[in-house]
Amino acid sequence: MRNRPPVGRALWKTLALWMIPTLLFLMTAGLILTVQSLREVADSAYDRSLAGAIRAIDLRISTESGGLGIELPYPLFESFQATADGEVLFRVSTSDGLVQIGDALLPEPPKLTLDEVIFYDAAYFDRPIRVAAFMRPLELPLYGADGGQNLIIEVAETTGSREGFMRTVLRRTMMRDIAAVVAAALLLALGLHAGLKPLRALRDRLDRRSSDDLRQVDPAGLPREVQPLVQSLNRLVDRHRLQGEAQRRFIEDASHQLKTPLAVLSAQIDLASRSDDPARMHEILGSMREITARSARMTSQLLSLAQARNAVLWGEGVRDRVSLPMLLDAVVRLHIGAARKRRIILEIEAEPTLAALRAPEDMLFEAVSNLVDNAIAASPRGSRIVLSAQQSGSSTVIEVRDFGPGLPADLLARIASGQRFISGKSAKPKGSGLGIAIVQQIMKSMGGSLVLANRGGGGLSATLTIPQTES
Amino acid sequence: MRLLLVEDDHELASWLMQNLVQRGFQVDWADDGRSAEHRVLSEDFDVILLDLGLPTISGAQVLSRLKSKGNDTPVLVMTARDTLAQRVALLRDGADDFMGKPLAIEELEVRLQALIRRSHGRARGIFTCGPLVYDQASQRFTLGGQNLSFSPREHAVLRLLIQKQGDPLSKQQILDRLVSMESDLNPEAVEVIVHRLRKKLGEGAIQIVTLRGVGYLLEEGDAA
Repeated sequence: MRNRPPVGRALWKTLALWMIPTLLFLMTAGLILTVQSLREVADSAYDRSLAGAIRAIDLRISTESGGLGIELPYPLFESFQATADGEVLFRVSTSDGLVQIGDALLPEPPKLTLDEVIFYDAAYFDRPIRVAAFMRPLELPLYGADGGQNLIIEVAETTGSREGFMRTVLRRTMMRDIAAVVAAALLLALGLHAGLKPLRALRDRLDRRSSDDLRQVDPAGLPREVQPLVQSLNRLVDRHRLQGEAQRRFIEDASHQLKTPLAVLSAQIDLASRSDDPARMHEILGSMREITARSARMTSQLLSLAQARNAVLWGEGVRDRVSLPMLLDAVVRLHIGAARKRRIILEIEAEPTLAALRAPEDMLFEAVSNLVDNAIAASPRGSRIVLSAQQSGSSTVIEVRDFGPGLPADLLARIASGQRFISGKSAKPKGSGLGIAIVQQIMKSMGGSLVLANRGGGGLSATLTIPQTES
Repeated sequence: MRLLLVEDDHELASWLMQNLVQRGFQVDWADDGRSAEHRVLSEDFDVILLDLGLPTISGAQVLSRLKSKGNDTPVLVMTARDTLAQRVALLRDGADDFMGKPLAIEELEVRLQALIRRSHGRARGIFTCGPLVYDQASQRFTLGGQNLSFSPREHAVLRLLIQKQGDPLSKQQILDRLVSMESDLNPEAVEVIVHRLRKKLGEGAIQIVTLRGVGYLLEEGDAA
């Protein structure tokens, strides 16, 4: 037993394999972009309130007394602390480090430029903080200083609240994206289900059919993508219907052909069983043997005929390159025994240079062989049969000539008209005419023809004309 | 004469055996290909009567296995499904003869006898065609017991013809086999040799038939 090839991947899997990674990739890329822009937005919003705090402190700084004095903007700090949802730290100092008010443990600021607020991230007791720093010159140097002093104001807040804000927004974005992916998958499933529905209906229709229902499948209502499939299915169904018909015809022919000899046999058995004369008995047995031999031959001919009909139907048969001289030689060698029993001579007329013919070799062999078989049966003892092959235009012509009595004109006419001339009534040893039917079927499968004609000098000429289909 | 009948249909086998035993054969019976192959390789038969449609291994497979193992027991193949092309293929595969079912027992007997005679003759190096006998050991032809003398070329051609009895030999086949003897041989020379052979063999008992476009065939004449 041959291993069954594995069933192909399910359609939904294929689609999902294409869609889901793409969607996930797009989602991740979108998320990264969102995080970046979100951080910028959050920073600029939160930084503005830090800058506001710096300005508020700056306005409340007094140096008139020669020292540094600040009136802290407590309400501002309070509201600030409330909205920032964290800790607010500040420090006011001079650039030479002589004076420091506020949180002395804030990290040192980076290099500052005058009159400009800068923002930076830092750590305060291992907690991340955001710092705004501002530096301006003092108009009057403080007491004890040499002058040219700068004032530095720093305000910092813990970043917990802005992280919280980011997390919330990100969580929402991700929820939205996941919802989109799930929705896409659902839509995909629904779409597939709906798209395949006509196919399931077709399957049910085909399953419900009885085994002998070989009507064509109605393509109406089926998606356009499926139409070619339906068409090939219909072609297959047609072929099977024709084959079924051919088979029925074969069985009819066969039973028709075999019934007669069976009837004869049964009559002979009846006769023999009532006969007491051994000589008569022997005679009857002899003719019974003849009948069985003929029936056997007929059966194998019927099989050949069925094969030839199938070949017509399915365009079967590998197109071999057939060397005609070799083929004729093989046919002669097969029949030489039977021919020589009656001292018949078989001859071949074929140029060895004859071009090879593209045809199914065993079919062609069967056809020529049947003609030779008929010719031997028709030839008188010691007669001659000539097999010839030649090129005629674009066709190859094979002829089998005998020197027997030929065929009656009405029979020739019936053969030529393609009429089925299996009569079944003849129990004569001349044969059933199946041989000719076989040759005709084989020629039909090759697109060739069989012509039978009585020759002027006596005898029959059987000519096969096969078109060259060089491909 | 020991015969192995290989046939899976018990009814047909039984009738065939009765018929063959009545005609003096010592018949052994195998009903599938495997046991048939085993018996042929382990025992000694004069001839095998082989059915093609066998279970497990087909008759054709049995045939090709036997031939590939160098067993040269003659095989007569019988089958119910015989197309002409199949016959040719079987003969090519090493079957020695072929009969379609149903078999006429007289014809079967004659063919079996001929096969046995031929294989025994081959083994002893003796080939016969009617009254003409060729003994390979002494390289001599006799016709009805009378010694015949031939030129080396005639001798070689007649030897080929008697060894390939029943199968026509073309001029080219003859030339191919004689080429070691002579280099200047041409088709016309073959015609001359055959002409001389005909003369020496005389009219009647033995004849060399010319089949134009096919070749030469050695056979018993009508008088025999």
